[in-house]
Amino acid sequence: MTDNFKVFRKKFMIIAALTAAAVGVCLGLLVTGALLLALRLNAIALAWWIYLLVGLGVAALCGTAAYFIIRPSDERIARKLDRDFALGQKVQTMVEFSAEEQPVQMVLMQRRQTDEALGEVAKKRLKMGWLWKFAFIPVLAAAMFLGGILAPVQKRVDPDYEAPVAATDTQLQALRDLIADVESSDLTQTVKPRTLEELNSLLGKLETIKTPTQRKQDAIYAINAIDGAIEATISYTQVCSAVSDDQIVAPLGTAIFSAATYYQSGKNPVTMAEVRSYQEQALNVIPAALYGWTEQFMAQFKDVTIISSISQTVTTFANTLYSQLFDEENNPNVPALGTSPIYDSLQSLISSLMQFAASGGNGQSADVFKSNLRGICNTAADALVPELTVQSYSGMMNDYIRDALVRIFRLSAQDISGDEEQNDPSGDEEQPPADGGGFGEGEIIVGGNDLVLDASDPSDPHSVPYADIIADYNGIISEQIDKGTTKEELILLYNKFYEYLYGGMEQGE
Amino acid sequence: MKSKQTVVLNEADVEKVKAFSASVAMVKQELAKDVVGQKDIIDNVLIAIVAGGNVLLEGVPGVGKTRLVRSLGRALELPFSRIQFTPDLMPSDVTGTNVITKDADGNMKTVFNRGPIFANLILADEINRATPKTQSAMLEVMQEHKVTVAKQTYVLKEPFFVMATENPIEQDGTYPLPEAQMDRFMFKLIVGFPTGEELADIVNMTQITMDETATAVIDGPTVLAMRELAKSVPVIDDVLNYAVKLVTGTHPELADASETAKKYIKYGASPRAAQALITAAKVRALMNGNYNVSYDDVNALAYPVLRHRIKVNYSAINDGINVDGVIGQLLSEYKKYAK
Repeated sequence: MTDNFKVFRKKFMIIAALTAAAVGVCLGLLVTGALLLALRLNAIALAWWIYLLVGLGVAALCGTAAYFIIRPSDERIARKLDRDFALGQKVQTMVEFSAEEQPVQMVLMQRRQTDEALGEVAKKRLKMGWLWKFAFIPVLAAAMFLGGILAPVQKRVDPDYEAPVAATDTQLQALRDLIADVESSDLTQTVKPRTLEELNSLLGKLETIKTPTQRKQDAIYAINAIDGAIEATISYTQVCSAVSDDQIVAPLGTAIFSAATYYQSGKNPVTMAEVRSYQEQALNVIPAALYGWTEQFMAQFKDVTIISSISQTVTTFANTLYSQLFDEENNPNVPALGTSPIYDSLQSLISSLMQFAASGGNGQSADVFKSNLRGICNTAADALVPELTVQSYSGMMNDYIRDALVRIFRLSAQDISGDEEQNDPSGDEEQPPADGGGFGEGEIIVGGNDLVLDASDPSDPHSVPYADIIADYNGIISEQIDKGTTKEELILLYNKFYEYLYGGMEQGE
Repeated sequence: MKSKQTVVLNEADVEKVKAFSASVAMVKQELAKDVVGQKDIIDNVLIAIVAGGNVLLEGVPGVGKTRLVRSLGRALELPFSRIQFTPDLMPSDVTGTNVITKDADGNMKTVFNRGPIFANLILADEINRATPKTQSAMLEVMQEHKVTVAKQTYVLKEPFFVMATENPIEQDGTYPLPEAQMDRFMFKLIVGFPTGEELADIVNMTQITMDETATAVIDGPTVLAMRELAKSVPVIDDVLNYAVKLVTGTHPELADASETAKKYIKYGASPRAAQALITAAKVRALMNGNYNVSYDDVNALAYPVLRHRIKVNYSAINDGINVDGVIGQLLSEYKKYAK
């Protein structure tokens, strides 16, 4: 190629190199700026040298690639020279025919003429106006880079983050009140110390600053521990479960269960007033339930006059009861009952009934025979009453403690059970969280976020979320009722209110 | 192993090329003595002669068509012959015929009496007045530079150049040239009426003498040498493809037809048009002192090469666009390829 062409070629290569470098720098700035922006907006901060490395790497890579793309061939140079300097395809002809090994004279003459023409225009500037079309690229790159540098680093917000908070005074006092209730309760020494231990431990945890989730977990632990301790002392449930499959002895189990759980007949949570009046009520309700079974049992003999027939029925009953509860050899489903006065009373009942049936009546009349039978049943019922009373009371206290802790720590049934579907009656729909009210479908929500006046301190009346105050108000009202200073119609109104509050509103009300 | 020989520029060849330009300049100078104006016509006629083509001139009477060819013959020192075509002109009147004569011994013999076609420069005046039969007699002559009479072929001397004229006024009693014969002409040139200044010069000049005063400056062999030299002018592929694209673009039935052709052209130019474009462009480039063909050379010759080879359709007539207008639109449409 001629010398003058080489001069132009060199110029074009330099332009290409500079352009490629500019492209590399622009892309480096663009990528670095985009990276800065993206990371900063997502609260990710990297060391400055990382960005520098990325930018330099992108610039080097893209610049090199751009050079090999932009670098013009001799044909492109020739075309541009012919166009810019109106050389009438001289340079293109020279380049196209430069590869001929045996060029004709005309080609050589053309080559010389072209070189002379290039010499004449060598001092002229190449037209680089086309570069202005791409002026927006460095502007864009600089803007992106500046944007990335100036973008503020966002603070990372962990959606699962919970700020530790101190327990409210209401919560602390409510828990202390609960501990006092347990101390003054008639829980047996088998469970009371353990229960108080768990509650005091919970109080200690409540006095530290924790997240709400941690507090709930502490409360759930305490509930489960207390529940386990009390459940360990309750034996009637195993008896009822063991006899429930057989229709001969199932009524006895039903009677025992209903006697022990009479306090669950209402939907209301157990109140302290109910706990305090339990003993008095239990002595009436429990025997009545058991005597009820006696009468139910005796009803089958109403028109029976043959003693042997009665004996046979009694024997069958006793044998069935024994088989369901105590015959480990022949019945693999016999529960492991351990020791309990209830088991002793039932064993005594079985023995008495067997002896009674074996006696054959000893010449007694059928009526006398049946009367003696009734006596045996009632004696067994009387024997069951004390232990059933104790176990029933323990169950009641367990419910009371659980309900109180649910209120204090605002637990839901899901929190306690850990079953996600327990709160959803339909099992499918996602229920909206209850707010601003004291209830929600399927959820045990106590209180909401609406503000009410806290008048506990008349010198400092202020508004608080009524979830914080509702338990206290409940306690105050309950005390007033206990004192007997509240009118009957107000008691009914209060019970109805809290029945709705704690039990959920009925559809359509 | 074949050694690579470096080809060096032969200054003698450089002188030849310089002589080419000088020769052309001299001829133009001589012609200017007898022909006023018509610069483009003279340039294109010279291109056609050097390129080995024929020219069809169209112009009203009295614009100097005959004078041009006669002066050209004088400047090129080439025998000139003028044939006035009339409807009764026979083919043998053009080519010549065998006649029976007596020799010195009184024996009868047949002698071929050469017709006016046996010259280097032929002016076929009002060729469209001759009958198709007579016109076809010109076909062989123009294409092959040979005359065949009674199975005897006579080769015409080179350089052989036919310049035919068509009178656009007298349409009665004319026989339009068939496309095959039109295609034999490398160029069709439109001789315009001289300007007032030119007409004044013509009047002044012809007051002195009506005879041509041009003198011979080159001869036939020189023209042939120039022809050979012009053939070696290099053409890059882009320019060649551009010329081809111009020709194919005139065919509306082709896939790569131009929009102009689809709209205004009934049928397009033959492959001879592409040959003529490149051949003539080489001569033009060399005449202008360039040693390569450029897009400008091709564009400048598009009109004389294409105007008699394409036929416009009724849309063009309806829009008032003549064939030169269509060629102009075609060049505009293809301007993007000439970069």
